Amino acid sequence: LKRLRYVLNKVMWALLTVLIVIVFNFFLFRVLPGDPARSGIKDPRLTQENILAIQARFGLDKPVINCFERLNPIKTGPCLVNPLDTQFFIYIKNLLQGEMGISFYTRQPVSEMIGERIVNTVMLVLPAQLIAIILGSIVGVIAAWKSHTTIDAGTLVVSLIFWSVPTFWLGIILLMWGSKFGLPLGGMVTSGGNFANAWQRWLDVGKHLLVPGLTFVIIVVGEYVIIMRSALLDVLSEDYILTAKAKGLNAFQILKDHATKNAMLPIVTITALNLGFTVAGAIQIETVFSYPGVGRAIFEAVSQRDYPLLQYSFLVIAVSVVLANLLAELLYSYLDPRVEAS
Amino acid sequence: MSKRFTIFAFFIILVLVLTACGVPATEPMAVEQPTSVEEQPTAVVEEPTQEPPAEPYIVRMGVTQSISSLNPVFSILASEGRVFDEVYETMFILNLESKYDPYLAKSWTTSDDGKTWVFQINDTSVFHDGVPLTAEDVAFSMMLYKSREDGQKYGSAKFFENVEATGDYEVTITLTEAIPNLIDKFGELYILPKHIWEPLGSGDALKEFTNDEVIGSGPFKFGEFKKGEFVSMVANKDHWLRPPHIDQLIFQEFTNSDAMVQALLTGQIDLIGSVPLTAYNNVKNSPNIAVLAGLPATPHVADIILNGIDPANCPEDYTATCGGHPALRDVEVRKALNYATDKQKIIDVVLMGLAEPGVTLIPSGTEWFNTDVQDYLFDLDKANQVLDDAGYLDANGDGVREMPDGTNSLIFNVNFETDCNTCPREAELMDETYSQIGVKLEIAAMEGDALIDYCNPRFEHDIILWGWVGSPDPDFMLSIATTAQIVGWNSESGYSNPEYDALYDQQAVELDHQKRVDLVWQMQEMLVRDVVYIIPYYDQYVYAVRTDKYEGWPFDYEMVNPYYSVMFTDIKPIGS
Repeated sequence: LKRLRYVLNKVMWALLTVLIVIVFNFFLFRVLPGDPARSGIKDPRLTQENILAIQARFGLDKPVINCFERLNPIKTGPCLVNPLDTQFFIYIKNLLQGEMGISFYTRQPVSEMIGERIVNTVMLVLPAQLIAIILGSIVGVIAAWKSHTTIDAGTLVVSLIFWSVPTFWLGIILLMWGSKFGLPLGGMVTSGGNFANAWQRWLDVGKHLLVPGLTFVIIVVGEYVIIMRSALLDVLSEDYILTAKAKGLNAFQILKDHATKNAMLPIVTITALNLGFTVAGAIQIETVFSYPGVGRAIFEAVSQRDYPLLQYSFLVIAVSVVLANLLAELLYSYLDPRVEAS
Repeated sequence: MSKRFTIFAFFIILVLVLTACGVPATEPMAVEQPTSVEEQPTAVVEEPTQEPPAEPYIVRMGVTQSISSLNPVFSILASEGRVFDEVYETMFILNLESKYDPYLAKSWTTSDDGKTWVFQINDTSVFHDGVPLTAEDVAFSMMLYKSREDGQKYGSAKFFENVEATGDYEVTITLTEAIPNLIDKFGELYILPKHIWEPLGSGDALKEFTNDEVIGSGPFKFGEFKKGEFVSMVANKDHWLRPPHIDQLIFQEFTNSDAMVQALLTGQIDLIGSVPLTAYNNVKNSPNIAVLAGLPATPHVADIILNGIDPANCPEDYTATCGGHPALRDVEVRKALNYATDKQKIIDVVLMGLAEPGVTLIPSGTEWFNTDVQDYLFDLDKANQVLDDAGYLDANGDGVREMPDGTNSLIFNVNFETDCNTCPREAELMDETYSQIGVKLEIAAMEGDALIDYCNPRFEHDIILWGWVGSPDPDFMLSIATTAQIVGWNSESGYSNPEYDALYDQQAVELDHQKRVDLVWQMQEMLVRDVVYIIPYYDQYVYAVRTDKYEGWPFDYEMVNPYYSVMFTDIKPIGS
């Protein structure tokens, strides 16, 4: 029962967070300067009438919410308008009906647009993230066990360099290097390629994923190494490890049965967070490699003030991060029952 | 010992994991060129089904602008226009002399009052779905563009009072008023198939129509669109006028221009629409690559905007402050700044010499450019003299001049868009010379959309570095400086001169070409006399093409047209 209460409590907080995000998202984009009707369509030949017509088409002629016509710059309006006829409540109403909206810019449903991009992004980021987690943990364990040796120092230095190297710089270097081997310089699949079968096509996609994936692994692996190493070092200084050593257990047994599990908590935390952010894409890598992922979609949407697309993608990211966190917290209580008690 | 061994085993596993990831993919690639052209033969051997010819000639163009919408009524971007230019036909088409050639239109007559035009159109055009293109389609498309005030082509179509098919291949256009540049308006009015577009009606269905098939009648048929990646088109070998010599045309999107250049150098793409200036020398000196540079056939004007708005003309928008520096309202100050702008140095340093000094809003190279007008040539002494004479002196000796009444030091804000590559250096060069005439600059980049509002309707700016892409007809570029545009959102300097406005209205309806040229020249004189803008340069457009696979690129012209659609039907595979 106590366990159930713990779970329910966590789920409730997660839901509340998502609700707050929904409200926050709406206002976040509307306090940005710039008007979607003018920003999305950067054509000076638009007349004032055109712009008003476009605003009406997007529903932007309605007040943002009671008392406010616009938020940047602030323009107050009558407070007694029908709340259901304001942008905010129309947004909430549509959301409740499961309507995520139509992109101002492409006129396509945003859920479809982001859906496609999420698939692309997950294909790039998830495998890379998993490789980085596994590789990072293993190397972190080794570094901790061999602490204060050349191996440890070397690992630490390399990890720090990887962690701090600018993503776009590394991306460009690897991209140029990859092109020497005939690896593609952008995109997700060779354009105009007539593939004999699905296998050929996937092979082609694989070639496109190789270098961006490698870049991603290098960028994130350092973090896992460093956190794993320091968490494990804490554990290894505990008395019971000394006891285990005194009992004559070998290194593998000590690490596997006694130390690693207790050092897992911080790794679980960042793993959950990073996996949650997977759907947010990797904007710099996607840009350097011209890869059609979520990060790029969001970046473009910001410059076009495409509110529906932004609202939806931020909602998806928020939900997935909250979900991942929820999972992590549930996992905590399994890994360390003391967490549940507190 | 055993401890050592396990750790060693860890490393072995690690190395295996790493190499396992790397080897299988790189190995075959080092041997073969990974172009689909070369992958083709194996595919044919395996499965002799409906494959295209063994070695299709594919031309890939690298582009940096994304493609969002394939609905020509609402499409906005130049990158989308490029696709439409190939897939659809228009009545007239832009050539490399910045003029329009007849395309679908074969011949035409005009009534004496200039308000009725009768066009005979080509009778052998066929849409890609097999339906013949007739006058009905032309009339329908024109009226569709005219009916969508929220659409992108409305500006070109708004003068049509009525367009109707008066024969199978005869179109009669009635205008609301006689206008001098009707033919130029047809360049972007793509002829849509009536049988596909009419059922959509005029409501939401038309707005939301994504036009995934893009059925047109042009020299290329629409192939595949991968948003954020590429658009591919297949040759329409049966085109009546320009059947392509190549098999497939692809516009491939790059979000990283260094990668795009590298793709050209390694042969993954065949041409780049606009070469980044930083890569210019590298590209130029590479084997098998030719660079085409020239003034664009569609005007490209860089400008230095000086906010001279009279507060009496301030727009009534609730955000408008018209809080620019008052000194800029004085033409003498603007003149001095123009004298103090070292245009040649900006061109040499910022643009690698790939531009010519600018004078007015109408770029040189077009027939509308006023060759008589005298620019303010770089001369710091003269600039100082002008300011001294006008009473702007440095009374307190801090190196910066003040207004004649002793207030408001001449410290100007200079702003530009955050994604402008050339602006920061240009602003620094301006600061170098302006500081020698007692003018101080505060330089800051600004997010693009914030900058638009900051400029108009707010008019809070002092100086902005920006630019325009116009159309070959001067009407639009000249409209920017009219009083009407202060509330019409295109005015950036707040210039208001009734004389100029009157000339603008006159040239818009002047049917006699030479008289219209005279009016346009007079307007340019006024712009320079009143220093509405400082025009630092007219930049060149730089293409780069690979010459080892295709020939027939448009080398023999002085001008370069970034939207020169005819190029793709002109080029042919070498040796074919």
